[in-house]
Amino acid sequence: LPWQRVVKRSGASLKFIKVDTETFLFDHAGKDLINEKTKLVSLVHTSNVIGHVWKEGQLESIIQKAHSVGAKVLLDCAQSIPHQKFDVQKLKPDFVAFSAHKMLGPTGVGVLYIKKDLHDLIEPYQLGGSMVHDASFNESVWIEAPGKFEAGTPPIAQTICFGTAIDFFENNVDFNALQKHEAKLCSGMIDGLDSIKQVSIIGNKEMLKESGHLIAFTVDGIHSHDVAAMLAMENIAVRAGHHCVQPFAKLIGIDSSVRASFYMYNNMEDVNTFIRVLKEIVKGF
Amino acid sequence: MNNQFYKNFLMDHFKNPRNKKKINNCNFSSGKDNPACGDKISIEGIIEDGIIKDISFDGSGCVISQATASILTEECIGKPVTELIKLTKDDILKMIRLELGPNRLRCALISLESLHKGLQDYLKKN
Repeated sequence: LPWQRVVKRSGASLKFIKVDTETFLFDHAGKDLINEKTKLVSLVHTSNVIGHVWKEGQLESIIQKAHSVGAKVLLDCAQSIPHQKFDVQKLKPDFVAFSAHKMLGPTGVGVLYIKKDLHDLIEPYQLGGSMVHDASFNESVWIEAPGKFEAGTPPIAQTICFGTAIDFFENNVDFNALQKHEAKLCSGMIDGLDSIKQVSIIGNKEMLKESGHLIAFTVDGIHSHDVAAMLAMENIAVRAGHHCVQPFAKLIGIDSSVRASFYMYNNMEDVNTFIRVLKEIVKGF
Repeated sequence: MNNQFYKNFLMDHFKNPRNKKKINNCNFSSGKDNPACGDKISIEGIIEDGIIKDISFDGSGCVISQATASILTEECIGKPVTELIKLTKDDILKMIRLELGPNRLRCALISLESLHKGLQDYLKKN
């Protein structure tokens, strides 16, 4: 949506890196879309819809190609940051965005990282209190970033809670162990789902078994919202819908899917319960 | 959400929809869809002397959207248009015996929106 708005305002054109609808892999050759006219490359670090993760080196090569033509790179890490260690110095994106509520934090706050040498080039997107260095009747000068991007009264309580969540990760979470744990649960989940003939998994099973943390699927003959509502009755929380990526759902010819996400608090017993309940739902519907 | 609803009342309407049929010589019709979740409902019927003489629906989607359409069409038969045009969200929730959050509310209301659109078009023309 933000890029559609940018295109309307600026007259730029919008191009999309393809997803193979058979393998559910991002087309790494998407980097061939990048040329000297490219201004910005926006990439999803991990897909919130199909759980896709880039293979070693793929992301680096796209970012290098973008930078070689002078384009900036934005990485959407909302789905990845809670599950893996991430170093901006290594991948060198120009922008990184993620949300607190996907990483044990509160709703309503998140992070936008902007590479330091771009701070002065970017104007505040909104105006308000606490962002002004010096104001006169006709001109104003902003304080330095990040302050100039934080106009008005901030969500104070949420920001403090978010800090506590980040501290929790720093002090308690071994991301390598977490990734292995989640992949194992994904693997068990995929085997379980594959045993139900009405279920189709939307995603690359091999990749998800190796390094996934979420599984999306459809159930033949039962709308995803109904599946989710019936799972909820057994205290199983999933998300159903197009997961804010409606064009992708249209591309693969579905109106919605059910998405189960794993995290540090899930275990194999949860997977077994999930599969047992889903089998009952399919049988009873 | 009532734990039993998928097993009983709504499932019965979903699996055995009432008034899901074709009506000849209908004098009002309309359709609505919700592309965000794929629910589709179309309604048609016959109004005589301001009363719904016959009504039917067709559609696809989740249990709530389809069962509500079935229940609503049952409610409509024999009722005056002037009364049906005043039906509200709360009336629908009473009919389907559910309390719903904002997302699923859209599923429940698509048939009412379709009915109201059909009736309003009819009233404009007649």
